[in-house]
Amino acid sequence: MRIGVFLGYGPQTILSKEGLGRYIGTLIKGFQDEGHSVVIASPHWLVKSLDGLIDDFSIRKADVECITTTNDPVLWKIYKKIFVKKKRGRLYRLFELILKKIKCFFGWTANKIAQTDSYANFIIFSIPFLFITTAIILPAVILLSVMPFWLVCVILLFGVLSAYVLIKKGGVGLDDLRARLSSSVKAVKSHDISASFFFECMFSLFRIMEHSEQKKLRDAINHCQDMVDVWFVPSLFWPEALNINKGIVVLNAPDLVTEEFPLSYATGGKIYTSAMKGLQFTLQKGKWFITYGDYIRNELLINEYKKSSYQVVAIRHANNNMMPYINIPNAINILNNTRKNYTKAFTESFLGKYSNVRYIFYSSQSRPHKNILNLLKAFEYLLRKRFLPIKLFLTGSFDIYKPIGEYIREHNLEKEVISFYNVPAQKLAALYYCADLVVNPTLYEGGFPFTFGEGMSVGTPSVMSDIPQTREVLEPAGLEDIMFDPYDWKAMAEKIEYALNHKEELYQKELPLYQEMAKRTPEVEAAEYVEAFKYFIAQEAAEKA
Amino acid sequence: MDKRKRMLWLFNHTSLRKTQVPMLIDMGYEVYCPKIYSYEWGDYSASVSYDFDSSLTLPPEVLEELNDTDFYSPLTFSVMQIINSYFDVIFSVAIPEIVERFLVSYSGTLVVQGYGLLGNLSCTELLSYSFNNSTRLGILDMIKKRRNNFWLALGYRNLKETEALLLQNCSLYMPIELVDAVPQNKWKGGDNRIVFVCPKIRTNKYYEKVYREFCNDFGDLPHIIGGRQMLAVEDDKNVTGFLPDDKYIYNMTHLAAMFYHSQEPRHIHYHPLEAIKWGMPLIFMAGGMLDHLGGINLPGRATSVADARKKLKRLLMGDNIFIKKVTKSQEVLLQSFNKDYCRRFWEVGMRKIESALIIPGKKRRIAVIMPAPYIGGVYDYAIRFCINLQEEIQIHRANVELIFAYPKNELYAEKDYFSILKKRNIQVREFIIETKDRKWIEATLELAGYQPRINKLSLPDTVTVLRDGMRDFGDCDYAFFMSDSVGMKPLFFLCPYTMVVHDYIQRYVPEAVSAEADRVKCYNQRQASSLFVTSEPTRQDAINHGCIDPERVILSPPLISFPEFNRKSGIYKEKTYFLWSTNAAPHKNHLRALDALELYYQQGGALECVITGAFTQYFKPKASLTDAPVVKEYIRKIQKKIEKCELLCEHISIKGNMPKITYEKLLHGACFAFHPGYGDNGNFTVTDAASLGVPSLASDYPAMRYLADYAGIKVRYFDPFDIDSIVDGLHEMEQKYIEMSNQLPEADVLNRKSFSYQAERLYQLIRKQIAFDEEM
Repeated sequence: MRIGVFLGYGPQTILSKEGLGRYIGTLIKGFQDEGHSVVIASPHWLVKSLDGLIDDFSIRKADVECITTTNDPVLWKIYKKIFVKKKRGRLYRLFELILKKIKCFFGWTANKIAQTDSYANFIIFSIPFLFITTAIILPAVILLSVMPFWLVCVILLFGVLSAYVLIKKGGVGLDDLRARLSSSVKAVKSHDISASFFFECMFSLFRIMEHSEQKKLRDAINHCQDMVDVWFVPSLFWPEALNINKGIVVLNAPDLVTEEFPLSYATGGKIYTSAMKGLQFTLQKGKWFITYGDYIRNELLINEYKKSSYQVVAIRHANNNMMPYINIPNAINILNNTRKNYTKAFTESFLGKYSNVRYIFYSSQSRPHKNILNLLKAFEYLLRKRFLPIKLFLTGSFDIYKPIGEYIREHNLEKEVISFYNVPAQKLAALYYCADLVVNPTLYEGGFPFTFGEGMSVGTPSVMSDIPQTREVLEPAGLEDIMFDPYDWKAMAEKIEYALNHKEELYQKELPLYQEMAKRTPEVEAAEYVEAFKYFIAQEAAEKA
Repeated sequence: MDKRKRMLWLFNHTSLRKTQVPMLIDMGYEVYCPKIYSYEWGDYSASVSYDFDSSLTLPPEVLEELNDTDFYSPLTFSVMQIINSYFDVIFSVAIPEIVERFLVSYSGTLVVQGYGLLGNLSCTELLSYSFNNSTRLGILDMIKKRRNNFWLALGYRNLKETEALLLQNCSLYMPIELVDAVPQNKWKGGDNRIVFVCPKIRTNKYYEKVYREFCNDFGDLPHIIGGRQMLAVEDDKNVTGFLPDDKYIYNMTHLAAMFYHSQEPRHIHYHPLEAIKWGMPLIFMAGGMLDHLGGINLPGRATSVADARKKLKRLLMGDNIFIKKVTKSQEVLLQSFNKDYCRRFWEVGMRKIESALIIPGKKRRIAVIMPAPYIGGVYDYAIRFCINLQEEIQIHRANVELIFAYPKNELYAEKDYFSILKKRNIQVREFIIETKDRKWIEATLELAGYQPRINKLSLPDTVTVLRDGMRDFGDCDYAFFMSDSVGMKPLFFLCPYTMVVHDYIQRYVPEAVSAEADRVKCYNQRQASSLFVTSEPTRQDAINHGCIDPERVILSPPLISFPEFNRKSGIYKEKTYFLWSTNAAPHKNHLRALDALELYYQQGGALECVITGAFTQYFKPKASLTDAPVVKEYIRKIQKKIEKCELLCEHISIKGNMPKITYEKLLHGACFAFHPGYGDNGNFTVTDAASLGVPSLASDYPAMRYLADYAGIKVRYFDPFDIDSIVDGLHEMEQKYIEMSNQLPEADVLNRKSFSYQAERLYQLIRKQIAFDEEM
């Protein structure tokens, strides 16, 4: 089979660092190993990142056909020149230092101007400002006056066009321009970049640019001579892929979390609403879908978006075995680490001062639906009311979702709740390995959470929230009692306490399910994808017939 | 289909019934049509038919009950049970009240039919926009949570464009059929007049405008104006009114042409299609539904009034080539009303509806929300509400989970106020109150799938939001707010809810609640699916002050708790005081009561007055008001009044707040309870006192009378605005309190009015707001 993979990622994406990117890497590798030929379509800006992914996953590059856009858009090139960090030379660093000093000087002078009650001082301290204003405006005026008239016109036209793009395509209405400007000033003052008008403008421009690249990519695919059996689109964010006419289009539909938690995500403003529009459009217009579990298949695709059951196939994630990341000499018995017989050297190398600490662990981004607030409440109760001498280790940033940081500060939990943000895979494996218990309090997921398999692969058992996405796996395995009601922090605390006191028993109980899950290797998963592709192709053919 | 499915087809539209019902029967359904319809809006296209009853396999008594039911009014529990038991599908007209009733109480598949909406109006707006300028988001939440068994059947393809994403996703194209929608070519011409159809000219503003515009633009051309008129248009002889069949047929076969004015993109009348059927030339304005139906290049299409006049004149002049061109080409417009065409889409639609995954009834989650940090009366009510409900849930083995939510506040840090609920396995949840702006509201609505069709005009600029740190109550199917005081801005709450309104004191004591707070309260009440009130006077206030639809105001039982203190314990040889239980709120009529007390003592009144209640300690003349959470200016007036009057200083004893048991003992030892306040929902000191064998002297106002009558307590009333009346009352009670005490009901009789005896009644009322399964 000839399988196309459509990647519409924006610039600056490092595929091998993205969860979804790694997932795609595994699948492509699996497709190749199954003997299928792979075509990857990506914007030009993603080529380098794609090469990295190909290397990381040992994908045979020679056997991969690539379709790409011809060049990067000018906007991206300019942005890259200005904002993307590069290694700077000594001269540049010196220039930066001087600039910093000048800024300090002006700050000091501005303070003096504001504080002084003497006219003489006011004039003296104002001189630097007058000087700098003249130094900027004068050359600009001179430059414009000597410029040929046509160039002035071009500059003006560029300005007008930019404004037009912002207003029309960026969705900025003239009516609320004034309100937005004033709110931007407030936002900048309060350092709230997400609410800033300038940020939104930039975001809108980037959105237009990405959208246009996806269109170009689609056209490039449609202009190719050869048919592809199936175009696999691993995300719902790229609606342009729906118009590919060289092969059927199969989309991955992970979830629609923003719709489930609208009040929390509304704070993100345009970032979420504009993304949501793309997702909704893709869900409405798409025909063939793969989900990560039955719940999303039935609830989102069939019940909400009214797809027929034959249009959607659920394929669970492959097991994410963390063991290979922990390179431990002499193969310590880590099949069951509830006895915690790892070496001091090992823990110190990964956990430093926390190497002797007992902790419960939740690896997740800090997002509203992850229910970390309730986990914090449960943890505080266990620590301060039940006197359990444990810490809570997380991997999300406390600043991204503000209520988490606020709760920690309000309850003086800074020393008890530790964030290991953006850790490399090896350290993540170590965190799983050394934990007493993995707790997953999530309220919503696309499929069965990875945390269960990740923990069990290094010998740490889990307790999890009772949501349909976990129940669909745990109930058939007879593991209902490792679940708790995630809306009830007290119930969560009680389950954690019970689990901490019965780690060994819990591990043994969860082992059969894990052993089953471990059989779901990336190869098995890739084979299931291919089966799904074949099924969709047959359905499409039957429909046409 | 294995067995014939039964459908409740909730329309009275004659033409729709003629086409849809036989089609559905032919497709294998049994179809029931409603028999009661009131013509209050002058809807001449509606009628009632018994024609299809013979095809039903319903038991005769069930059919009889259904035939006696007005489906446009609230349905009885028994009718709803019949619908749930006997009907697989409901096809409902898009009237919000009707749709909401079925969303709440019907568990089968609900299909709402939408056809012909004016302007950019959508079913989303129609269903969620309440008549008194507020958006009721709860109905959308109910649709969202149904997912698998809610459908929107749209009669025209382009209706979908204006719907919110949520309704777009569940929409099906199920076109409207027109009887015999094939060209019959019976038109002959010969009568040199044009026909224009415009009913209800004198009774409908829209048609009045259409009529005026027609007269203005085409009045000089020979014409007649057809259509039924509720009031005759006597000054225009061209208006024919309703015509008998022979005249109607003559018109359609002999008049020169029909002019159709409507430029509504999503609405069409039947009469232009009738004209096409007869073969009569039709001149229609561009930009309307006919464009969408294939009329964009037709010769009968007019882009302006001038164009229309030109074309009509050609027809009037008998331009045969043009007549043929128009009549032949316009036949295309009938295609999408054709029986076979419509049947094809209905079969696809019904297959889709039938094949939807039916997920077994899941557990409903009901939130009981105490929206402000109460520890007094509202707190007591909320706790009793939960206890009653939980008890009944367990008795009936209802598939319901109850959660209780309270606002984060320092008050609750002192002790666990909610342990009584936790012991009963009720999940307790804390929330914070935030204020959000318009931009956030719009983003939320968009993310929730409610845009683009929520009427922006009906949304406030800033709102109060309850954040529980989880789904913000998105996990709940329904909520009961224990009071209408929710933040300082209008409430933004996605889930449908009932709001308990205890009183409308602002109506009688305007200074008790600011105008802005009153506005917010009314907004919150109007957004609610229903209101619970605990007295008839408050019900009247909800209707007359809050302007709430009477159907939505539900009289629920007051949840009274009588003191556990035994009335026989402690024998008082001589009672020497009466108890005034109040609080520091300015609406409690303190100043007038103090004037009355002064006069009472001047006239030789012998009983002491003991004052108790929250923050009443600040009434003491020397009490510092620095950090007191009271209206200082008002309290100072009380202090001064007491300080200046020696008699008051001498006879009044101020106890402040006290533990419940101490209060009960104090009340038990009193000659009578004194309640000079008014405007609230009645004072529970009266019921407490009665339970302890102590009579009451209280202000005469409707809610107080309602409460006392409800509990069967005889009270000596006085006019709270007349000092002499209060003084008379005090003197009389001083003389007759023993006699009054003997007239009080026995403790066990009173106890039957306590909240625990009201659990079943409350539960049944709650079940009407949110239906759920029971195992029993």
